Amino acid sequence: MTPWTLLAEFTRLVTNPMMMFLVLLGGQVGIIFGMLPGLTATMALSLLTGLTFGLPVEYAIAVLIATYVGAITGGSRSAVLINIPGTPAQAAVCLDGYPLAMQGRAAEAIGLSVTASTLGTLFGVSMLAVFAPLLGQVALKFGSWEFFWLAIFGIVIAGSLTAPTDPIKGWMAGFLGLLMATVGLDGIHAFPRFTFGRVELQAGFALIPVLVGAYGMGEILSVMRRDERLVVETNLDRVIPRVREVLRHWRHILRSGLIGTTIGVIPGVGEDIASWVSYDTAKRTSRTPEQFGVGSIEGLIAAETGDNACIGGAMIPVLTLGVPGSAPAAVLLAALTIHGLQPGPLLVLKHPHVIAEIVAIFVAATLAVFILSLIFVRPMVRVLLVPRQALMPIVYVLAVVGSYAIAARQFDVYVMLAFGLLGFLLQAAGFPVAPLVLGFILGPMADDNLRRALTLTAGDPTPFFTRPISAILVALSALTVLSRTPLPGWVAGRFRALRPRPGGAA
Amino acid sequence: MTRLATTVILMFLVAGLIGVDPGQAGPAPWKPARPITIIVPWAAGGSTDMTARIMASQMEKPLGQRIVIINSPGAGGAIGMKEVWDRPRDGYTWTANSSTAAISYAVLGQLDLTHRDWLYFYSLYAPNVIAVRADSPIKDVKGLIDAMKARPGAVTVSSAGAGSSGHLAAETFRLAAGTTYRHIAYAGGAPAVVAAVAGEVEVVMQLSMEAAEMLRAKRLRALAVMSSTPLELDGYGTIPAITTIIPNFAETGSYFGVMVPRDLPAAVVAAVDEAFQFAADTFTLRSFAKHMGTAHASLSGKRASDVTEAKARRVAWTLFDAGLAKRSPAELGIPKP
Amino acid sequence: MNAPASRSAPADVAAGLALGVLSLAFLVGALRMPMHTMHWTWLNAPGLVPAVLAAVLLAQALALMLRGLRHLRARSGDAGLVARALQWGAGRVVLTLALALAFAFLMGRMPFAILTAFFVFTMTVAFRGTTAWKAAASALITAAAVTWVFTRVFLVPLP
Repeated sequence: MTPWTLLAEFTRLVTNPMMMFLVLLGGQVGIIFGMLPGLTATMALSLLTGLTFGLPVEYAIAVLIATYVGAITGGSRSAVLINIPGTPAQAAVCLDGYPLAMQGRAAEAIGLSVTASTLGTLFGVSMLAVFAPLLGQVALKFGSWEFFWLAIFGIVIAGSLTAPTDPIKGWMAGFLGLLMATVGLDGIHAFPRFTFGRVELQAGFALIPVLVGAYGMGEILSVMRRDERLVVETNLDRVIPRVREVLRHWRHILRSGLIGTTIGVIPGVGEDIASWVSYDTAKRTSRTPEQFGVGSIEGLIAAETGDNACIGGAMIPVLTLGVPGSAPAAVLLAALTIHGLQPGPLLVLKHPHVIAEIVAIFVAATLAVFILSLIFVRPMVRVLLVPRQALMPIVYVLAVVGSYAIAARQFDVYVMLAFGLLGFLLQAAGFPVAPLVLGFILGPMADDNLRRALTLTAGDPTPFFTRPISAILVALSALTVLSRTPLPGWVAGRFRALRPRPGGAA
Repeated sequence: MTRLATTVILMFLVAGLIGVDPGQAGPAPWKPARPITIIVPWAAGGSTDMTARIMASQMEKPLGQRIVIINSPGAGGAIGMKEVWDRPRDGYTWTANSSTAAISYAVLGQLDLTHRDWLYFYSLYAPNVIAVRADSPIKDVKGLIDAMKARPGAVTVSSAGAGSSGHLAAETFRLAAGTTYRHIAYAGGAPAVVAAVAGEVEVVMQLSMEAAEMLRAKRLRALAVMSSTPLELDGYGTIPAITTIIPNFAETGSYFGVMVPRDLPAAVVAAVDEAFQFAADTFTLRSFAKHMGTAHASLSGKRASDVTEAKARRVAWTLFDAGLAKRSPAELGIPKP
Repeated sequence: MNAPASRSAPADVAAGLALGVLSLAFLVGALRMPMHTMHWTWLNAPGLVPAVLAAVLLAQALALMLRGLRHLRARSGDAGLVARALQWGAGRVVLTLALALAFAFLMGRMPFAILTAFFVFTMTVAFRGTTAWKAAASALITAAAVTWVFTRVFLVPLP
């Protein structure tokens, strides 16, 4: 693929009015799905796959790609405005986006996050265009050993980031999440664990109700607890960020873009981890780390660039190996397949233009989403002017519908409520909620891969430390724990004396 | 005159809306008035999901309604199946699954529902294929048996999980060849195949549709198809039948399609069947089947129930012999094959 | 570094105790799972990972509780528990939870749009979110918009 074929494809796209209409439509649908907590990118894509089946392949793919970009970009709205991530990808965005909104800088925060998202997506997509075949090979280097460490690494980072003064609470929340994920049939022998003979519990707790509960319901409870009338006036004259302001953070953008793309390439790990790792790296390298968590522009930009760069990364193994790099990418893979474009090593051989075409659609979709997002910032920000006690009943209805809609199960609504209460109580006791959810997502990955890896080597644990990527992940996790272990009081001494393994003592 | 014309036009309009021809006697054929939901008990992107989506797209036209797919994965599909079973018998909720999975729930003790509680509309038949990495030293089925005998219990075989079709195929192979192996379970058919491509495991025995693309790309090499007839795979070549090495090998493989509770009203079943017959015959479904390395099928009614019953004998007793069954097939009234 | 720890001491003791009990329950449950059958040895037993995770969480919970207790001893008497809970907002939390549970329970037992309108109105008024008129308007708009958007546009089945 030369730049010229790409340019030709792009020109052909933007001069086709039907195509542009569909891209705008998909982008807007995606933004709405992304914004509403409980409705995820995955869900938007799977609904639209059915709805667009009758369209010609090119149009159908354009709608789906625009929806994907829109959903991952749109999720930051609710993160910034009501402190509830629209999709799991924006958990890290809440950390700085919401404090900024509380300081009256909501419009600025949204403008910046949209810009960072756009740059992130473009970065990821250009990586897709340039390195698709090469990076596809890296994905295959991840075996059961690496996936296990990746899960532990995720918990360790999220735990220490979200509880900066008291990391043990962050790690405890993470372990609680991992433990909660073991409820249900186990992934290897289908043995029922902690199900008490109930069929509903055999599938375990579903991710979306857990997410919506822990964030949405938890936030509802903590708003309703306070009797104060909190109305935030926000400054509306600066939506579109100044170029200079964004470019000043070029280091964070490039680094987060690179991290996001790489994490996207790894199968089964998606936007949520990408934004955490980017956020962590930004904090470590920032000159003002104390700003992180109380309204850091750098943190916001890093998290948003990271999760959006993941999109392009996640498409790389889809197109080159037929292996989805993230959950929404899995639906996109299915959609491509039923439209007769079987993703995989043969895709490029059989349809030589398809990668250029997909890249061009991505670029067009990103620009469309950028414009759509900025047009509607002002009406969105008005949400902050509504008294929160009047807003929360509506958020609760959406939380219920979101939990119910994903699989049409009443049980999921109760799961949402239960995790809402759990999240609220933990938060009241000073625990962060994000590691709980991340642990819950990574639970099956840690569990299945540890046991699978041990079975593969008949009990020999050495590959966990000797395989190159494994060794890097172990070192990074250990480093994180050791560097964040000036724990208060004697806990620190105790932990050092035990020479902790990453993640506490696993 | 005008009034008469208006009345006639109105009559036709009303008739068109409720789908009844004026003057036609007999039970009214069922016509869905709102979108139909197919609860797919597996994750999006897998074999069942893809089959359901493509069938739904073709069945919408004859039914004149939208069909919405909802993925409700978990517990090997048992939960989604139970949800469909618990819905009202109004014909608006269907499921989709493989014959192997539908049979296994009762035997594995996950559900009280047996394969006899459902009606089947099969549009694909996928056999299992034994495949190894392209650079594997194992060249054919004989070589695989020799390797398994040389390293008892150490040759790794990946599958989509305990009781999945790939695991059943490996168990059938173990019993037929008198060998042993080490079972490595993954979260689905696609990851199990990728594990073989990446070299984490040595052998994979998943369904043809799950391995097809990696075979075409020459990342995997097929040793045999677990059936009595060779398999012709577009862009790969002929895969020999396993019966040339192990003559009386019991065929393994799964039918895929839409399923509805058996006790639906007859008019609903007839309408679903009519839409299915139309859809199964379309070029879209035929070319999908061929591309996925599967056999096209158009089985419904008694024929579909009969092939399921025949499959049930194999599946249930293989699960029993492998020690996975919670309930004996004899207790469920499934005779030994 | 000790400041935040001592301020949160009572919460630490409570959380440590609760999570300790929870992880102990998980640990017992995991250890009662078969460790060795014809299909698996301890290497890939279903109880292996839950047992390890529960043990780690138990240790962390105990550490947190002990730390909390040490700091707690340094503190002197407080106002009554009930008074403090009410001041903190426990009453409002319980009311929110009760309304939320009622909504979840009534789902599918009455038309969704009516239930939604009723719920939004009750909760908004109960918490003095806005005036009754505005609450009624918000309830009707929410009910209509949610029902329409989800059933007609997104084709999501509502109970």
